[in-house]
Amino acid sequence: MAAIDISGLTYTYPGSLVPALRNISFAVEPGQLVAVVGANGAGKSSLCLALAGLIPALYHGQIQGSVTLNGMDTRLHSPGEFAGRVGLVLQNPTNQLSGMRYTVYEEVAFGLENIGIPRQEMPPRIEHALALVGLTDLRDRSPYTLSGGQQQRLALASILAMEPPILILDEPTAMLDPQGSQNLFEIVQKLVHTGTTVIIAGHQLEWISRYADRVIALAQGEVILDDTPAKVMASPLLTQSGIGWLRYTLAAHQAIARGLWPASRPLPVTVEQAGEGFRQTNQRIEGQEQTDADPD
Amino acid sequence: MLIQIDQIHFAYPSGVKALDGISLTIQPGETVALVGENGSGKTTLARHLNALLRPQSGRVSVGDWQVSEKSPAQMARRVAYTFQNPDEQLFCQKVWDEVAFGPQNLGYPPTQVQSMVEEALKVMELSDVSLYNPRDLGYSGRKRVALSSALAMQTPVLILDEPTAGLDANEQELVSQMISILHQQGKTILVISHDMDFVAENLDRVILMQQGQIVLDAPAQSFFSRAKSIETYRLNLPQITRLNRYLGNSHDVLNVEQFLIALSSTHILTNSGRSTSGDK
Amino acid sequence: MLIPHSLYQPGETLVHRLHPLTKLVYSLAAAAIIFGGPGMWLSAILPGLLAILLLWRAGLTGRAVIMVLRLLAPLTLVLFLVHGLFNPQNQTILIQLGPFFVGQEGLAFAALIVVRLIAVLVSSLSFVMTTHPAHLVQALEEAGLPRRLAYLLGSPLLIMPQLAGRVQAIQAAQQARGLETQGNLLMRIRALFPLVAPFIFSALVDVEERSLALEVRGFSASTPKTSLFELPDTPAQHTARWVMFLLAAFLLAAGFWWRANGGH
Repeated sequence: MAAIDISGLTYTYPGSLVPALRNISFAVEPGQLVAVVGANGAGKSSLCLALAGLIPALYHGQIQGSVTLNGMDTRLHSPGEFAGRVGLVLQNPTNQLSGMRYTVYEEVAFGLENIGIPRQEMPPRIEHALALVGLTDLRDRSPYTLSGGQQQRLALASILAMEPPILILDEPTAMLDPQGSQNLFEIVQKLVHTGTTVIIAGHQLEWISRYADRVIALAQGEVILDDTPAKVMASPLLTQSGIGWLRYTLAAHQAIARGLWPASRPLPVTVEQAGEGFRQTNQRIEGQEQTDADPD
Repeated sequence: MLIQIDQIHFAYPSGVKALDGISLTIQPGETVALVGENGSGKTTLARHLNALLRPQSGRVSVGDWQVSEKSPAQMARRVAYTFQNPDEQLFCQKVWDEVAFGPQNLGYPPTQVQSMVEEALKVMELSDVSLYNPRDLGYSGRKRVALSSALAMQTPVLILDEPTAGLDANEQELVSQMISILHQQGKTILVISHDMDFVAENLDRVILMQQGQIVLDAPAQSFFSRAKSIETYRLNLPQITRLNRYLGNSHDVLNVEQFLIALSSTHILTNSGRSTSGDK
Repeated sequence: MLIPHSLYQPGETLVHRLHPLTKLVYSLAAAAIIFGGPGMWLSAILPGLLAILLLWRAGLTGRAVIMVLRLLAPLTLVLFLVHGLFNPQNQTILIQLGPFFVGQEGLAFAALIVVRLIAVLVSSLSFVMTTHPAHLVQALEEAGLPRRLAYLLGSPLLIMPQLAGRVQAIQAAQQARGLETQGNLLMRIRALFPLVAPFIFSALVDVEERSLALEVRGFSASTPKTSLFELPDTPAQHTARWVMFLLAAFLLAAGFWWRANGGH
């Protein structure tokens, strides 16, 4: 069974004239890492909320089509029923703190208390989650004294302790510095290796190109691309819809006209692909020059 | 307008020493990036330029003004500052009013305020939504309104704190254009940013801070060529720099155009003047 | 910004280990007795002494004294001054100051108010300083208070530092756009408006994001809640809470009767 199954999803917020999501359909197998990219306003956040079961249950509005998370239809269940089944991590680290707990340790316990985990099962879960995100040493600190990156990892740990098989992250590194972003992405990769299905939305195109199994591109609420990073990240639709290319892709594309990149070679989406392509071009040109330079 | 910072020290009330003997000169018309990890002191330093923070020792001057003698509101005449979070400043019902707030505070007459606002809106492509409520625009729209508000003040110096955070490619292009226009007008620009691609492509000089000190201060070209030492400061390198290193090239390039030009000329050089079959 | 996250001081003393509801009922009962019990001074002093005993047992007398001084010192001065000079019941002259005099009755009146305030303050502190806010919230929930109400009571204490930082940030942003915040009173009032709206708006954005985060962590899940910490309660404490409630009710009634029959 697919972990996530979206079929013909069209959703309009209450009071809005224009649907935020239009006719979205795709399925995600368990353990996949799927990236969602799109210009601002294209619907990434709305899609994340729909994937977490919060749309339509919390926001109401008009919905057509369905979203099924491990067999549960989001139109038929309240948000509380998805706790522990789907996790959601948002942009702003401080706003995800419960505001009711004095220590990192207690903060992670909050979700477990809500879903009724027996007391004796809590400590191992909490320790495990803190270890996963690297916050074990800070367990007795107040959440409000942590840095942004640490708070974001705490938000993640609080969700992970609930052991959801599906994890949605909506621009989780938008407010973090490069080191904080790096830390977070490493944790996400670990999770995928242990079998969690992960959907991550954002603008971090380089990391996405390198590590995502699949990229879904949105424009104006619709899916315009759904394929491997190699295919999606080099598609002209990306620049047209305002998402943009990586510089490597741009360099290769503009190099074609100058004869510095073979038109038949696929455009690169990582530094290695770009490097290899340009290197081979050098060799090819130099090889040709050698041939041309030989007398007779 | 010349900016002069002379051996300033600053510690927060909590005791954290944020600036440890910083001295810096920024020439009129320079475009400067201030980079470094969170907590390195970049924002603290920037806030000394418009009197939001005052050093415990040392001096700061903007043009002929000693910053210690002015209030932030007075400094706003010479230094415009946009903060990272637009939601911490928007309060008007219309985009127009929001952008006009700055010029009005500075005492410009209404007719002049009008043209200042119109120009600023045009640069950030907000002319069509000038009567909208900023709250009805998405986060990035609100961010553009905040940038517009600073632009409209037409100050000789602008400080932008993470102007591209949260913006997509098209919107970042607008910020690029804004910096370009300002540079042509001779304004001095200071940008705090984590986006090294943006920095490499738009700004002339890069200052790297760590733990309250300046550890590297160089023109963008040579800054990124010190790739190995930069990595110890946990900065991402611009994509083009990394591509260049991968290819083992020694010359410095800051953007795609320079990269391709360098690549073409390498071929021309290796051919000692003869055009190759693949060349145009 | 040095705002204490709350007044709570962690510890392991007997007082700390009392059930939060016991302490809550105690402080409410004490307040009722202090202001409404019979025999003015006695009703104020006895509960006050009990509270000081509790604070001493909890090892918090030093901190409590500092809090009391900080909060009440200026007020005490004002009360003594005002009542000493202007209380209508003043007859006995203690000190003559030109046309004015300091009267004994006024001073006595002020002294009573101050003693009551101190008593109520130390009673509250003996509760607040020894009770973890989240434990109080848990106790209230276990006693049947609706979840959301309990959350409203518990959360502001921890979120305050964030709000304070927000106010500073907004002020900085508006000053940087030329807003003059110094000057005469009118100017200062006008300067408030650009500060209030962003505060509310960003607070609303925060509230929305926070409620999403809470939902995702099962805040409104209908499964029965468990808790990380056990709040030990004993039948003795349960009885004690009822006793305190009844005692307070009785003393309030007694106080009423006493005053109605001329006690003062």
